[in-house]
Amino acid sequence: MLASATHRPAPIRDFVVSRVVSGLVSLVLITALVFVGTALLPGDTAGALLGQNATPAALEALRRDLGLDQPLVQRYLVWLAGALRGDFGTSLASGRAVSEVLLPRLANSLLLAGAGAVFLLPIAIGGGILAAIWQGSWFDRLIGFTSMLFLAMPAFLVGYILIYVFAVRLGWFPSMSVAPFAGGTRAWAQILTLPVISLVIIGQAHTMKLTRTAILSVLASDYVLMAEIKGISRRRIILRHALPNALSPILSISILTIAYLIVDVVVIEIVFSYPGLGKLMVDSVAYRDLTVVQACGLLFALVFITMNFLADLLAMLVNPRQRVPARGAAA
Amino acid sequence: MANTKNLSRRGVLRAAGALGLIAAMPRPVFAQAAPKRGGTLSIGVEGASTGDTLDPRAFNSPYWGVVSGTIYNTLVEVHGPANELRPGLARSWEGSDGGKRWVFDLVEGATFHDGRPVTAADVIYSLKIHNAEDSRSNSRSIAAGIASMSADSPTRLKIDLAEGNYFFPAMVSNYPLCIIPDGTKKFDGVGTGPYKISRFVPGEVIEAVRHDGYFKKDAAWADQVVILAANDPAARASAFQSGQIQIANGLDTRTAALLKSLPNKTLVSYRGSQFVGFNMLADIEPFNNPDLRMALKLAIDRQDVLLRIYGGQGRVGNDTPIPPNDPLFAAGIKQNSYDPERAAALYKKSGHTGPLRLSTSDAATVPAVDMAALFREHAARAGIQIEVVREPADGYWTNVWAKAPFHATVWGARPSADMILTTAYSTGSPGNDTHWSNKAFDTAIAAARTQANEAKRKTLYADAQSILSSDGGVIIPVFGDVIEGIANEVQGYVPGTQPCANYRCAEQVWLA
Repeated sequence: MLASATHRPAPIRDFVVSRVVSGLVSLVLITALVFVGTALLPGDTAGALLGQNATPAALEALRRDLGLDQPLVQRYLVWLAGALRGDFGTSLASGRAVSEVLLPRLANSLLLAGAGAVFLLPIAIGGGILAAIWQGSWFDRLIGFTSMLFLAMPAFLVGYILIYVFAVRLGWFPSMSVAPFAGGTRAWAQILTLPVISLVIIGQAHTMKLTRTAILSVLASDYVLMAEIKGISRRRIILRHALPNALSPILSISILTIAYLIVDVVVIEIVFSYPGLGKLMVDSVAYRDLTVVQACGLLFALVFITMNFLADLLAMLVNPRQRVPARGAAA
Repeated sequence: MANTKNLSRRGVLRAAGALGLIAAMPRPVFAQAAPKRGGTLSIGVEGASTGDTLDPRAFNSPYWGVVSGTIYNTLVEVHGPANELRPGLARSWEGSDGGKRWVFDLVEGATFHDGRPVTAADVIYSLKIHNAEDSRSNSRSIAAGIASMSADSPTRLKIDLAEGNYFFPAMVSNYPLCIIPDGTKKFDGVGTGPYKISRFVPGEVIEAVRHDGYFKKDAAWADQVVILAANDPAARASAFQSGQIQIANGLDTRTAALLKSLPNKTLVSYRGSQFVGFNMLADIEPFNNPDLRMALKLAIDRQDVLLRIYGGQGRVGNDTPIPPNDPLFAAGIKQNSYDPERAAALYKKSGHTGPLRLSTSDAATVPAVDMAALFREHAARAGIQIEVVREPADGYWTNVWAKAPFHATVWGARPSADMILTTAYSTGSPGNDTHWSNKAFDTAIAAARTQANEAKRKTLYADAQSILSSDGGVIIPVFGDVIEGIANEVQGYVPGTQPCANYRCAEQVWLA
């Protein structure tokens, strides 16, 4: 980095700057990929909107209205210029501003993902820690078994099983997550329950496994062996010595879990017809609503990149060894 | 259907009462059925999207049909399995001059949700916008056929058509032709219908509360109506099973048997005129050969299709878009049926050799894919080789439909038999997806439309069907019945020929 040549070394600042720059480059590349990908699909917005009622004249008129007769590169550059100013254009399908379509859906998705994280993280991390403490016990083996089971099971299957049992058979919860008349807190709790349980079931598996592994790898280090030789109880070793040192990987795991959660949310939204960003994106692909797909893609990418960045940054902050410049490195 | 006792008893009462009434009378009262007010009715329908607006010109799916039937009224309504015409906002109508001039008298005292009275000017505006330059209405051709409209008085409307058409009253029952206030520019859902919108989230839900000034007094029993966007058939079925929706449109035939066993739920079916068919482009090789077209029409086992694809619930088709239960159906003409030997002979005579590529797709509904596979087996027995090509659903209507020489098509129900014949099979129509052109056919339907005498009209349509069946480029093996789910607490439901009691279930039913 240029900065390090003239200023005294500041690894965190360098890290932040380089990651922000590379993140922005990634985002632009992703929008280009989404743009090209949507353009490569057979059919276009005009055809998808008109369907069987399409006549050549109507198609041509609609394409002209939507600006689809312009070359792809030009359309992309116009979009990019707008996006840089914070203007994401208007939805091709409805003519409403993209932000107006997007924001309520984003709020719904964040609510779902947030509720999912609130339950998922304590359960998964707690379970992982317990499995490490009781390594080899029936609890550890049970956790290992269920983790493998749910890792192997596709997310939508979990959703459908929950719908079958709790909505269709028992009738405790609605199968479609749409807020009814005068949807207060109670109504929201009702419609969120099954999707959140699905998210927890799907997401806990690898988070739990990663937490368990992180703790166990710390337990294999010399100072733990030393503590054991000194006769300190295993519980104390884990809570006092292993856990603080495993905090950095666990924090990274938590944040990556949230990033994966965003991916699972897309599938779960479809299964439960939950009006979130994921469902919006899938519906918009069907209608070739390019501007909405673009904005959704950008948002998802932004969340993913930000989460990854935060995970690495936090790992640096909690680990003193990564905060100071490496000594003896080539100058 | 066997298990529709409760429903059909009341349905029969209603329909029987209706038969005895003149079309110009207001809605009948049924003391026996004892409907009651109150409750929230939830309807789950397919065909909603986040791009939806309340502009009637964009209404083009079952979902928007139901919204139209809940929030708005059309001039004329179509009721019940026999497509009986009933008054909507027009209490009576009369055609003259070879079906060219129509006079509609509006209901007295009908008001919009905001209290304004309904006048002929509102109707003129509501019909006119469908033919505006930027209109992509599915009813544009109907509006385009109107030469002039004028208001004789605030409640009397005169419409002159460019060409006579005795089906005009049925055509204005099409759900996008709903009446909105004159001069509406911002489409906010103000209509005359039984319910007024209280919440609209595109692609999710529409909630509506009872319009107290509704002009039909014995209708709209529920206090509130929720119309849920339930595009996914599995989501629709599970929402129905779980009781989240009380009326579910278009349930999968293959899962209907499982749904039947549910307590407190009833499955009803209606006999619509929508169909899945196979198009042979009649203007290009090899299907410009009528012998080859007929060979293929004889090479599909219609009974087998009915049994295997529609679980026996449907009617065999005769390669015309008019189903046997339609009053205009030509019963006297020859039925095309499975005859591998004659098909083989005609195939040989056509001189064609080699496999025929049949394009199909989920876009043309799931039955289209299964039916193509079945057709391949049937045709093989006549020595005709069909190669089924499964095209992606994306872009099917732009890239494959009406373009591939041999492909699957699907047509929804139209309010009149004349409309589908004209739209899909007349020379030069943009919707003519077989590119078939036949002078005698064109002449017959043009003459029928302007024929005042009903019997003569029927004869002319029979001629048209005969020509289409023996020479046309479309194979229509079966008209599948459509299965709908109705919860037992929903009373008074009378299936029509289009989804959700011809889209007007919200005002029709009450909750027990």
